[in-house]
Amino acid sequence: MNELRDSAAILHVGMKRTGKTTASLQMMVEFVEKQGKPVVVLDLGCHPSFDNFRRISLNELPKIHSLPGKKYFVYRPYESLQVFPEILEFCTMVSKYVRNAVVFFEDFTTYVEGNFHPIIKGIILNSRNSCNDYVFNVHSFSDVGPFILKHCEIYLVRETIDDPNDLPPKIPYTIRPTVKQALGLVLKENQRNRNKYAYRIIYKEENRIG
Amino acid sequence: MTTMFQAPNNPFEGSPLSSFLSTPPRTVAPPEPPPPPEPEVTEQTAPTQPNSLLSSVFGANTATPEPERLTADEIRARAEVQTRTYGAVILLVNALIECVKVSMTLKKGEYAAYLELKSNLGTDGVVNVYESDPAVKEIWLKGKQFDETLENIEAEHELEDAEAKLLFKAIKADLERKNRKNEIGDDSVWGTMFKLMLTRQLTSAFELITMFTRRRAQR
Repeated sequence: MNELRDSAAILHVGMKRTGKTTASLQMMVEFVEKQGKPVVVLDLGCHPSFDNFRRISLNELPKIHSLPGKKYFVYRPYESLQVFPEILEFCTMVSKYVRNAVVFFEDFTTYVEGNFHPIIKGIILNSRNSCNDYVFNVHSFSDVGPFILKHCEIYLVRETIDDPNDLPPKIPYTIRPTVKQALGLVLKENQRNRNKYAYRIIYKEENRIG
Repeated sequence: MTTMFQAPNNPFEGSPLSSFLSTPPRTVAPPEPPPPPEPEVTEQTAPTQPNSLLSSVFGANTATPEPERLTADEIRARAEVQTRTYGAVILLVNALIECVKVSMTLKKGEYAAYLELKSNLGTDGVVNVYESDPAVKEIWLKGKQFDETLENIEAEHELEDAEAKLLFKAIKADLERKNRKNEIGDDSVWGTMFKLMLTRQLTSAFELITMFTRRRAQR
């Protein structure tokens, strides 16, 4: 089979201790090992899981494919008081010069909420053209803006604080029943297993749970 | 630093996206990397005057100094220093010329003879004893005129203490101002040193000139 996969924007939703970071690391391994794509994590919280990733600077982003060593990179803004300009600069560099890669936005809602900046909207809309996959890790559906809910191709759903019977209206109308169903299944499985590690994948374009 | 990333000890079997990621991805050609940043063109600033004393030996500083902004008092003080310094130099040169001129009026040995006559007169207390001899009289008159001229020069060119102090003070203030504004260069250092020396030693210089003229005439 010669079929090739299109890049996607993935919304990874789950409250604390539901295995988001662990699953993210596993996905990163698969992106690098199976897909041959370098991974960059935008990490503001200095999460210890990414401490042994190679720290990348903005100037190095255009040559991400030729940098030596394993292709696991982390970008952490240097100036704590200049976080937002640095994030926008990071997104601009990714949009302009990075292709065939994966960017993980760790705890995305920490630094982006409400209406998105056009630069961030741009990288989400152009994910297919740039062949970049984007993964946005967030804690709940209610945390994120409608734009990302509308334009992400895949939802990776874990247990959240959202009530399946009273989902935020910003979730697109067509996908709301599927999200409700996925959340219900996750909650049931977690109750059965007495943990919080259950998840479901929603392929939004096909409106189905994977 | 590149650290080998180790896959986590995952409680799940495979990642949630394993089936999605089993298909190879579509790729595109990477874009042109950004051009290297051009070096910033910075405006060349004129270097400050070197403070090395050796530059007066190897050549003066040719850099154009920044135009000075002086207050009215500073301009006045500086003009006073210049005027007084040049005035003192002119007086010194005048004294030198006068001394040379007056020393030319005496032939060799005449002044020594006059001094001998003078010492004899002093001891004998007789004034008119040599008036009968015209040759002795001529020597006496010439010597006396020489002495008087030199005394006049000394009196005329002697710088008063108050005036010397004033000039010294003005030069020092000018030097301090230049130092404060970091304008001081080799020329200023040597110029100011010369001015200070001249001020301090002006009276001595006049005395030196007249003394030298007298000594020379005695030979």
